[in-house]
Amino acid sequence: MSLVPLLELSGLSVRFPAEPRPVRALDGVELELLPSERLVLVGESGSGKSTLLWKIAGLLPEEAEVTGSCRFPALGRAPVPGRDVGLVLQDPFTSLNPVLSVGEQIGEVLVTHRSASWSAARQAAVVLLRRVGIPEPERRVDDPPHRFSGGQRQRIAIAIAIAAGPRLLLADEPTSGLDTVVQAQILDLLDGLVREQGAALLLVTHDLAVASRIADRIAVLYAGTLVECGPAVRILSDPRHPYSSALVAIARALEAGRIDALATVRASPGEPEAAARGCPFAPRCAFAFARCRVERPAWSGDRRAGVACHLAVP
Amino acid sequence: MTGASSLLEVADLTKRWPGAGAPAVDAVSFAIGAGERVALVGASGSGKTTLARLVLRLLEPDRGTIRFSGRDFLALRGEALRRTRAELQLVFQDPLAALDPRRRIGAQLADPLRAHGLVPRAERPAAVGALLARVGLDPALAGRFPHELSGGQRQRVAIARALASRPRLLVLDEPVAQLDVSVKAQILALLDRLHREEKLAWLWITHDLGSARIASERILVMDAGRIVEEGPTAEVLARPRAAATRALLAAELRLPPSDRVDQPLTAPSVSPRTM
Repeated sequence: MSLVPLLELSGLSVRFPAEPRPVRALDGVELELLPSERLVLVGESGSGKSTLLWKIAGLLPEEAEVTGSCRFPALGRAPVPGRDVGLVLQDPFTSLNPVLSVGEQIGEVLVTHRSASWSAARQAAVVLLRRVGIPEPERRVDDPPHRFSGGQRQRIAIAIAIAAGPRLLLADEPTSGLDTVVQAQILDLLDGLVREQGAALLLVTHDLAVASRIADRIAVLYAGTLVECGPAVRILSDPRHPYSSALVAIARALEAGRIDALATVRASPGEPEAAARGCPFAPRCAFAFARCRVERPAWSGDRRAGVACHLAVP
Repeated sequence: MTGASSLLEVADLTKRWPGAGAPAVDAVSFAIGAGERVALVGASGSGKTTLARLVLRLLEPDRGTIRFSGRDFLALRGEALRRTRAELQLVFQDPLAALDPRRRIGAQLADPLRAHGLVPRAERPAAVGALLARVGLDPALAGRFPHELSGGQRQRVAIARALASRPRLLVLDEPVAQLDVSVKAQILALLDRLHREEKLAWLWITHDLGSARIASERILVMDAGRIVEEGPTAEVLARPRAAATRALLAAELRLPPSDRVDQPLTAPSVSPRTM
């Protein structure tokens, strides 16, 4: 494995113009991803995890104000979306084109990015459909998306994302609309594909259990701030930020069926102004003290591991 | 769980969609006692949502009987049906689909109070405030519209609306599936409190064994339209017999085992040097 990172985010901040004041979606994110590494970004609604993914995919709307950098050192140039970076979205019902056959949608990627002829692209589409586990791909390649089940549609969306052989596969909540059995199959499929292709994976989810299935490293986002990052095994066994701890505690309470262990995070996210100066998690944190409300904890660590919490500083 | 103590008693319930080969719900029988929490689990397409719609009489069965509070639910008409419906309420997965986007929360919570003749007009604002407080919301939210609320707040409103007609049984269809993990934990805790305080019984439909563990004493496992396994939740999930139960357990995503499972959450005490 090359030690030159595939992806390097440095002081990355994203704001969206809005009234009465701009919305700060991401605030000073420091993160790197090595080639063939699998990083899972864990965050809830409003954490900025999708903004981060869209930034990396080059899909942020023009009005977004971006500061800091998002570079691809191992690539040595700006990535071509769809070729160097593949993207799998949460909802295959909306990400697939309803009027084109699945073969055409997979083939289009190869015609566009790999200069394939349409007849070669159709053959390659059959191979890709087989690879993502669609039975009888020769017979199904000309079917439109609505002839497939929800799980199969997500497999097809994955086939499109990997068709051009990207170095980085991005996945935004790829399993959240799916039932438990299909969810595990799709995660295992993604895992197998990035291993085979030697690609890196950046997967976004709100569910730590999903992260634990596939991640080498986990990064936890809260309200646009990276609060903790590190090896998956360490984050899951010894989380250091109170927010990561709460997520782990909830996941374990659900596994153990223990209702008493659920109440670990306060209900109200609080008013944004209250958290503007201090730690963004302070209004919901069970361990917050005076300093947390007035001083934002600095990131202590590097782009591979670290934590932002006054309690975690010596 | 049959006999005099049953709140809901379903027998031989069957529904076949026109043109379909096998029935979507195939000769299903089960009972729920007063105050009992039952989970109905199964993969997509196992028939659990069709079964829920039959139980609520949103769909007429081809065959079978439903008794609710000792009455023949399928034979009820008019006023008797309306009164029974008040005692049997539904909470959807997506609260946005259950709430009217153009009307204020307060007006929507007042609907069931008026429709079931439960609260005189003059007392309705106070009753709406009390409902919001019961689900842990600020009564001032009565003046807001659904889109001004977060997903968790909306699900609390949907629960408040279901509680307004003083039900004895809730049918909850994946009530926490779309929620963030920390919000999911809060809604699970809220429903647990309501169950304890109000002796509320429920049928909790889910494919997520985590919420089934928390939210039920008894579990029904469905596969291909039939209940293939049934028993105390902890026992069934610890020693599954049916292939469908084993498949659900095998697919469940779990954190790696940890020796810290039983420790209460404590303040992190770390040094960055050990990271």
